[in-house]
Amino acid sequence: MHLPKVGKKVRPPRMMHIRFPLGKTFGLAGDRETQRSILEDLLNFALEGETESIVELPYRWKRP
Amino acid sequence: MAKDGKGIIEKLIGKIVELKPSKAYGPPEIAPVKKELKECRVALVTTAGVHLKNDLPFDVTGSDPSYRMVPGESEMEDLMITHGHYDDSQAHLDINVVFPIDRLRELEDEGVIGSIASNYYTFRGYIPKIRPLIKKSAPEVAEALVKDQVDIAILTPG
Repeated sequence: MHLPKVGKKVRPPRMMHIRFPLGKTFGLAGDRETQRSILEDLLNFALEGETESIVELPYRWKRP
Repeated sequence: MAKDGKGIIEKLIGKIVELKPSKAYGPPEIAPVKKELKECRVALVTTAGVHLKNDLPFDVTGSDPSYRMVPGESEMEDLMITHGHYDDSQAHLDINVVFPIDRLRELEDEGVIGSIASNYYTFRGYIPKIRPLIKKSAPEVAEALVKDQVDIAILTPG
């Protein structure tokens, strides 16, 4: 999710916030490592994250 | 920020939607998961406007609450994006930046997850009129995921 204030309103079971631009949620084209890492974070969070928790992912966007 | 000014539009839309959705009626229903990740069946659900090339495109002129089904075995070249409210230039090069089908398949091949769902579900994420989404589309998708015995649905924005 890129808009945590909106996400909070609709109360998803669990939500991760990433500070990447919309349209680049999993990083840049061809960056398999980042794409995979974020996906694994989401999968683990789905099982381990607390109900209705919102957690910010640690990735930081670097303009290509 | 996109060079065509889409970045400014995205920011404006972001501010508007912060005010738009009403609060949820209550807490979400939480399904208990008693499996390990390597046993879980996983689906992707996206609002990034992804759909099969031979399927009906989303309506970009208004509030389209419809959804499309994308078979789990679909390849990147089978897919396209109809959205218009975000910078999809990277996604056109590599769909995995909004809809990580290849990365999920790799995790299945390596046994990190149990299996991928029979179908993924896709929306176009600019839906100002949310009632048909709440009353029809979302429950239909949720029911289909349950029927397919999906344990985890990863929702990706767009």
